[in-house]
Amino acid sequence: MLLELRDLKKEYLRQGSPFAAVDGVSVSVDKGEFVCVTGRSGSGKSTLLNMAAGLLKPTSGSIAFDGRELSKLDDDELSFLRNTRIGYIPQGHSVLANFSVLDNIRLPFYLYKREGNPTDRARRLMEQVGIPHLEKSYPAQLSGGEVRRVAIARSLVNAPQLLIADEPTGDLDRQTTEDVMNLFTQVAGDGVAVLVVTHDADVVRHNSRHFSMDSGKLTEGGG
Amino acid sequence: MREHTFSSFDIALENLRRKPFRTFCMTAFVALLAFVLSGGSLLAVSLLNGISSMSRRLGADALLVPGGYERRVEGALLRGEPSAFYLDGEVAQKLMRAKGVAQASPQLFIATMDSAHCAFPVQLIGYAPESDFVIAPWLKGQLSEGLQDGEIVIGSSIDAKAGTKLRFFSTDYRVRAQLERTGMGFDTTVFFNMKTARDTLKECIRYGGAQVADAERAVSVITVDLAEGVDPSAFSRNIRNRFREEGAEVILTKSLISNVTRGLNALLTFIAALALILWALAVGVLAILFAVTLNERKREFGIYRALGSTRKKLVHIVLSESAVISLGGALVGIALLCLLAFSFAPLIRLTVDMPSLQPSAGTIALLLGLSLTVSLLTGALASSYSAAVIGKLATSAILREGE
Repeated sequence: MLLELRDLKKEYLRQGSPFAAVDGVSVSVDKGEFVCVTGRSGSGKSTLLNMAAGLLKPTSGSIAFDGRELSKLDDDELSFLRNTRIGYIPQGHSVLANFSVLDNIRLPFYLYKREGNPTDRARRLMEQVGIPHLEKSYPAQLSGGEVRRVAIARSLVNAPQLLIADEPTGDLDRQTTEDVMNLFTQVAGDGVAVLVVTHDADVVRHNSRHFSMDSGKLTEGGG
Repeated sequence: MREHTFSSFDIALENLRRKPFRTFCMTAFVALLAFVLSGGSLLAVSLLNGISSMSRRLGADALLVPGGYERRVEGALLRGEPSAFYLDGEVAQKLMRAKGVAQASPQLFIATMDSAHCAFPVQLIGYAPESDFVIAPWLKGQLSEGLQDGEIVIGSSIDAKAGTKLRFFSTDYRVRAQLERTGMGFDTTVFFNMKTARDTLKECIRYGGAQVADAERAVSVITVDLAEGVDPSAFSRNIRNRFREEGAEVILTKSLISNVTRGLNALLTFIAALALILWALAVGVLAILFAVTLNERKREFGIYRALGSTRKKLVHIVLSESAVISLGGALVGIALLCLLAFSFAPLIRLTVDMPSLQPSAGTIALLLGLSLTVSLLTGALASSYSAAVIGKLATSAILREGE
């Protein structure tokens, strides 16, 4: 199993009382699986995703990535793991305004010293997500859908084993949403585990597995 | 962005390049700090050097001068302001034999004129090589044998070279040597022996530049070394009482130096306070600017974090930005200072109105290096809070977006 979440809990203090944003969630995701988690705003979806990406520490429970317990990794190891094996697409506008489209996509490769040149792969990914003509453009010149495609291409540049996307279709029109979800299906078809959270129930038809989340609890199926 | 490099430094440079106004303001602030720090320290060391040089050059315990001319003697010695004043020759002889005097030597001051028969207005000082113990010892370093009649030694700021001639009162004098800088009035003074000085005084009188009854015996200043155990204040009181009618006055060199030192201390305190206030301001303003900027950019840093940047990498980016700003600002400030200080050095010396002596190249390099270091540390200190919280802020910015 690539990703295993066991009895995961994340508590915050709200007005002095503990409040569970994620409450006893257990789920496993294997290579090539496309998992979609739906739920209303504030149901705990993004918290779950951030814990799975190693950005947030759980209050209790465990997260194992390819057999490695994330809680045992220090910041350097966890960051390297996220860079090399997890493609993360944060919610909202998540490309860097200072860099061109090509540089945004190549950025994860260059965050660590590596052999090789990511430019060819970045260009292939731009073809794949349908933005080959935007290589030299800057984010301010792009539409919302194009920005999202840049973020998707960027998340794939290091050939990750797990792709995590937080509300990837949140502000997109129906056609672009369709295109983005088709892309994720294609990525999953290439053997990458895809974990998407969204409040848009329409995207569920693309998924092999569907979970719904409510008040921090995860239920398989439509809930 | 250049090909194949996304080091923390490259990212920092790109961030600075894309925000030119913010970068310019922060750099200008550091430049101002470096300018004041290096300029202030350079000025302070120059003034301290000037005082030290003055103490060495005024190698007498007291100067006996005509009453009422004390300020003009100071002006001539400290700033080279051309002055002429004379004691009666007979009085001068009595003064040199006064009680408490161990050795005494006369000097003759002549102010040249701003006219066709003088090269330029300057202070001429004649000294008596056979009795002098003030000027002769440091002239000896540059003259293998004493000055001959008709020869002069010129201060470092006088525009002439050894071997050339300078004309005063229609007489040409051969420049025998040029002195090294002293930081005081001697830099714009011309020295000759007493015989040449008396001949020159006669010419000066002929041109109407001085009114002296007996040019052969007139004396401007008597430099005095006190006998051992003589209290300078008591000597001073004694001279004033005994020579009240003849109009002789005493300037104690220690008092002269301590007067200058008092003025210098006030200036140094002002410079230090200004530098300290500016440094505190620079740290505070830069820290606020970094913090505000960081707050605006936490989403950007959050994206780096989500892409796999370590906290250390984010800290490196923040520190690289502050280092580039600090280094750039410090270099600009120091370059501006060098341009101004070395181009307008004479004007600055005149404005400061105190003896000053430029430090050696090594000392200047050390001072500029220190200013550079302080400026760099200022940038690092100002960005330290931002660097310390960036990891946490960046992560929470990404997390909040999702909640």
